[in-house]
Amino acid sequence: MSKLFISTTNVGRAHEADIFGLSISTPYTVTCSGDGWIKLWKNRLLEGDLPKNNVISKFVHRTGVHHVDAFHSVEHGGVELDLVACVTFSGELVIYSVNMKQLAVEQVDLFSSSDKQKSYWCVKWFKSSDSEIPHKLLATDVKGSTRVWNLTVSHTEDADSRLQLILHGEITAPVANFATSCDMSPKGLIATGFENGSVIVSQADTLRPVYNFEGFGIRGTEESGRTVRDVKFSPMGELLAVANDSGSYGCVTLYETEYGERIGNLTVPTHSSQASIGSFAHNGWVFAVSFNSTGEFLATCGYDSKVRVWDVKMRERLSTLSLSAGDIEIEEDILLEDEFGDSLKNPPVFGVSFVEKGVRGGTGSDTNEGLCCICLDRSIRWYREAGGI
Amino acid sequence: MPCKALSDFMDECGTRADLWRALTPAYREVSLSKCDSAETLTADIKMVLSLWRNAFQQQSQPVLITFKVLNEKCNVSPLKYPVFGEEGVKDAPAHRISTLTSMLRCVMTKMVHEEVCTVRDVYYQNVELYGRQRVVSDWLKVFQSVFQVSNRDVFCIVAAQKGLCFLPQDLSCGNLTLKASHSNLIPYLVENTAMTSDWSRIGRVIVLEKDSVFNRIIKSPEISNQTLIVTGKGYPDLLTRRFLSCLARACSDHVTFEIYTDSDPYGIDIALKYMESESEDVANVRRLVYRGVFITDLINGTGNFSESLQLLPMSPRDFRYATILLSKLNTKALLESQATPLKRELQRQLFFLRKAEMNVVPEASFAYYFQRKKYLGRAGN
Repeated sequence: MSKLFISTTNVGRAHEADIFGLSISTPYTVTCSGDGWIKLWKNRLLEGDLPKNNVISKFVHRTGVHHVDAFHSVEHGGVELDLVACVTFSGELVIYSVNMKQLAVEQVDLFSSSDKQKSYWCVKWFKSSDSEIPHKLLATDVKGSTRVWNLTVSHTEDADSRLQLILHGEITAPVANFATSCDMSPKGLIATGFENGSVIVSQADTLRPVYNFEGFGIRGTEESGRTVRDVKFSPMGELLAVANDSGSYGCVTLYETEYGERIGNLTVPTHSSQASIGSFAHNGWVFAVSFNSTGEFLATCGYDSKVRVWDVKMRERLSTLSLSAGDIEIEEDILLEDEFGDSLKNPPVFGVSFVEKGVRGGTGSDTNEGLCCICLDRSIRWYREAGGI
Repeated sequence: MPCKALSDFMDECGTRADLWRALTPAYREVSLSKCDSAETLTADIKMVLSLWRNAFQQQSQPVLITFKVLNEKCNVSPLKYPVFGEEGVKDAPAHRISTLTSMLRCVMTKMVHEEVCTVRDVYYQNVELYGRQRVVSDWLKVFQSVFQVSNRDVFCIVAAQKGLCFLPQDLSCGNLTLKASHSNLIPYLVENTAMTSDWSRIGRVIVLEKDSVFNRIIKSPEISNQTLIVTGKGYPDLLTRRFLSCLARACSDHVTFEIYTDSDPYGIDIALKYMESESEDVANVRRLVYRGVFITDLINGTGNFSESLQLLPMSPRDFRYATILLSKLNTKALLESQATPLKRELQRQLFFLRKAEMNVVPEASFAYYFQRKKYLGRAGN
């Protein structure tokens, strides 16, 4: 079985510097960059519309922005919540409220003074489908702890006062280590990935650790060859996908979350001598993983300029997209080399995300899922699964 | 004046604090301030030392030394000696004042005899007193700020030569001539020293962080034939920066200035030190562009790097250093073409959580690496 993805649209030179973060919500695709801006690219475009003419930009911080996550929800009573959280290279966590009708992005100050003193790295929203459980915001810090806030929405007239972030607690790391990534499952588990290759899964209610997974990659000389770069729960929360380094290669490992068992790795067939030591998913670090809405498929991206789509059940590779800087539609926006002449012909891919059916506009997007990825050539590419139209 | 007994003081003072004040002797204040000219500097220092000596030896009077500085960075708290009461328990003023006296006397002697020596020489004259070589250079900075002299060289105590340069052509710096095809110590230079050479035979100036890389690269004729190579051996000293500054002023426009450092936050800081101007007598080298070693060069294997290359993890200290440096970069007076690559590199090191040393470029590939960079993009040049 294989899956075929076709390019629907793309933007070259989307930012002035490297694009480090990607997130997709129903109304827009949001990217963040080293140039200090976040950009919200409208998802539903009419035929002939160019993404660059349908973007809202907001300057965040001059040091640059590396993580971003968007949150969109229609609350009880029809209140629409559109929030974007991002983390700057100076460690600040900033939240913006988006008004798509007025095309306005405004900063909202929801943090207490003690929250603001921390230096954050990764940020993630959790959208709760149960009205009894509040939405959550997770953020990891450089010392290894994961802070958890509850997002409450009160139905008042005053738009500014209706949002509140209340600190639920903090999961501290047993050993001080850089917490690189986090995610929360609908089953009430929080996973935090660390620079030393371990992943700690904790209960969201009690914030107590329940499992500790160690990376199975090749150990580097400084024991740093196993850095976890992304963790993601499947939509139902039964599986946890972990992307970690294995020396200069990238591994993806799947864990089952009920008993904390390792299910296996996603691997590509190889004749390399590494095969006997460890198997890998990409010939380069894996920067992001993303489940589709049903949890059947997993998309991964890596430094090897490839996006791969895997069948989770069979742990088989279904599709590989090899990206090239020349793919960009508008010729002037193609960036074949950077300012120093270093080639970007095959740009590493820093982020990938599945796009649910009906999110993007255009032919076939209502019936087929899609993919979106960001690359080192400062481009964003959207794809749609072929067939079924 | 008749002597008073303690009981007299107790009768006069109503409170304990008043009694304390009455028993504390008055300090003689001696100020170190702007000197009219470099020629009168020795006379000024001599007078200050004589005032102290009189106060201590002849009048048994305590002294308060104050410093009137222009530059807030060099602000020094006033010194009291001897100290009475509880203050004396907190501090060890004798040590600081003897360091200051020794430094002033040393500066005066050297200036009178017009004898130039290095900071290191002064430090080794009294290791026990100074403790660290930096103490000597810090006091020289204070003197420069207090006496408001434009150049620290007037004190006749100069930094030891640290930087090295390798020249494809003979280079005249003032009265000196640096010989081609040799590794030369960067000479003592004054500001705006005129430099002349056959610039048509120099294509680029390469500044290297590490002297180990310098020593290897000068042996590669394909690079060293047309390249002036400089190293400051880590963080650059004043002389190396001044040498580059004079060179940048004198060189023809076709000569490119490139800097290569370790791919870690400290490497970026070193590159920044070369580019920015902290003191007035070293102009910032605006032609200098950071060209590597980029972390992506090492990951991509540019220049046939060793396949077993292992990048190092960023420690929490590296991480903090990098974020602070990133914030600082925006406040520095740099050209955009100079700041952008530094910022990009710091962001990538943080995002990848990796750093690397420039030595990981294997011996055989160094020449290839620098040669290749020559033909790549010319941002900022």
